[in-house]
Amino acid sequence: MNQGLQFDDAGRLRHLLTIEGLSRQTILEILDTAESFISVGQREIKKIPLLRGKTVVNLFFEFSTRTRTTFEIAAKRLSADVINLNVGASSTAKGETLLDTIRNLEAMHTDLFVVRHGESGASHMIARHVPPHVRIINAGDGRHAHPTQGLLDMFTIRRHKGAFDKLKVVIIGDIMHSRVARSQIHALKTLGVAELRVVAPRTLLPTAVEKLGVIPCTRMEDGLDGADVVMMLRLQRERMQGAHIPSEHEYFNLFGLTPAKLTLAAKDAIVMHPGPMNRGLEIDSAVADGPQSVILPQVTYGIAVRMAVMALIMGGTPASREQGDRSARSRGPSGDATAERDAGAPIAVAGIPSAGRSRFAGPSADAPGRPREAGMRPAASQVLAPDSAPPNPDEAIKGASKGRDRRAGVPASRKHAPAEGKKRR
Amino acid sequence: MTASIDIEAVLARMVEQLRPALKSDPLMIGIHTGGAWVAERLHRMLGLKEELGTLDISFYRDDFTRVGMNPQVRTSHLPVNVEDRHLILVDDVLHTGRTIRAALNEIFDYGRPAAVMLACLVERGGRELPIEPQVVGEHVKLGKNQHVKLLGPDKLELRIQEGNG
Repeated sequence: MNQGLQFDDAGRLRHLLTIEGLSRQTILEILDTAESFISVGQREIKKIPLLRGKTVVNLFFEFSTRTRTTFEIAAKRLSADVINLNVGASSTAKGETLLDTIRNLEAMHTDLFVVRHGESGASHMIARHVPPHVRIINAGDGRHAHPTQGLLDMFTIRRHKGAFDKLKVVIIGDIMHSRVARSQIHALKTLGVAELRVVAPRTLLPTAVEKLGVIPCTRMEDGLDGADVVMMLRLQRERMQGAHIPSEHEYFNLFGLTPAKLTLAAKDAIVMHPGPMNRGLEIDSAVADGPQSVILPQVTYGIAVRMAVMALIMGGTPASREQGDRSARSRGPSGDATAERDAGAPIAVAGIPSAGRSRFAGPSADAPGRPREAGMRPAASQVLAPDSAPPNPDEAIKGASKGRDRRAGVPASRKHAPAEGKKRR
Repeated sequence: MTASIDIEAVLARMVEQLRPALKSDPLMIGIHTGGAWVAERLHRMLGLKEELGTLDISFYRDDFTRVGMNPQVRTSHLPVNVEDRHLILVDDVLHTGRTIRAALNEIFDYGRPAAVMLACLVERGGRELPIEPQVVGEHVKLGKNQHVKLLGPDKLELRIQEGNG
């Protein structure tokens, strides 16, 4: 039975594309493993030999400092060889398609790709087309997912606040454009927090967001009240093409986290931010640098969490520990095997434009996923997200569609990137 | 068939063999999980002052690419700098020697010890690497299908069991 793109037939995590579809057990296993990697960063020789002789390519189609650097450090601490490619400035600019870029790097015997792309679904598309022994980690795709950020946030919360089931958590800011928020929401719901609220101006709050199991608020006072964890988001000005906020000054007045507003939260609440911060826009410097801020520890933990993800997907963990959660995971309307199969793919929920996905879907993408997608996409979201066109569609789409045309001639075994990869281990 | 070994007598023998080493002010390190249990006992019996160190060698195993990560990795904990120190490395059962190889690699990532001595509760033959212990509690000869297992941690018990261990 196909258990979704992220898992092999034995239920082992092969790729990390999204937190959606991961069981509570898998998430906790990643966090536990990360816990043991923390010590590696504190010792004299910050290196262990787990991925010695493996080649990791950081394939970044969007700019990033923190994520790329922490992935690079994580891979190096595991003794892998790391190559950083900022593809925006390289072959793609000369007209090479995304799949051609990937295939060329595969030919250099890359073992793991860490991919960031402006298009939702880019990592899924790549994962579908690589041979079985190649692993993919999604380092952020469009507005869809940023799973390692979500995981490191969970790690941070667990370290500073303990058990999830007693916590009130609030996510504040540009929920609409944030892949981080979506990964955080999936992780927090899976781990079973007591209460999860999201706060944003109505224009930055996806419609039907409550379907994800969160309590939407449009006033900071409502969201912050008694919260144990305050997760701020960056206002993604580069993804905004409409009039989402009247002015930055107004936004800060209403939604910026100031010391005064923070007093509404629990006394020992922690403040998180995925970075980069817009000081004086979504967060006051006095809070960002204040005693309740865990923003810099988040960066440190990010290395350990990324090491854990790399080690787990590269080594393959024994046994089929995912099995027990299979049925719980199929929450599609059909609730059948098809829904399970699709658990790892981007779904248009609550106003997330899924243009990227449908355009990326190669021939192996299953058709049954689409009606569900269409059904769950509220029409109103189109009004709320006038900029639903992806930020840099040209190179990506060109790559995807050209690649798709050629897939016809590729042997089936490559098309589906099936799970026979175990043989190589 | 299962057979039991008198663990207290075995530990007492190890303590006697370890006493001469105390003059070099050694640091004791137990390998997770069984080795750490044994080390805890020895540490107490010898009255060592410095905190016991523990090692989880999961990150250094030579079969990682075949079997993957152990889901329950414990954190290695070396409370004292190993640089230029005399170490007593403790494990429960010495078999192929691969665990010890991994442990030595890990220790050297923390620093350069002056010397490392190997103490194990049970030595059972079957070495695949040139690794020999200085201190042995008990030598056992085992058949192809037999293996020896340490149960714990509250009350340590050594069992020789039949089966495909």
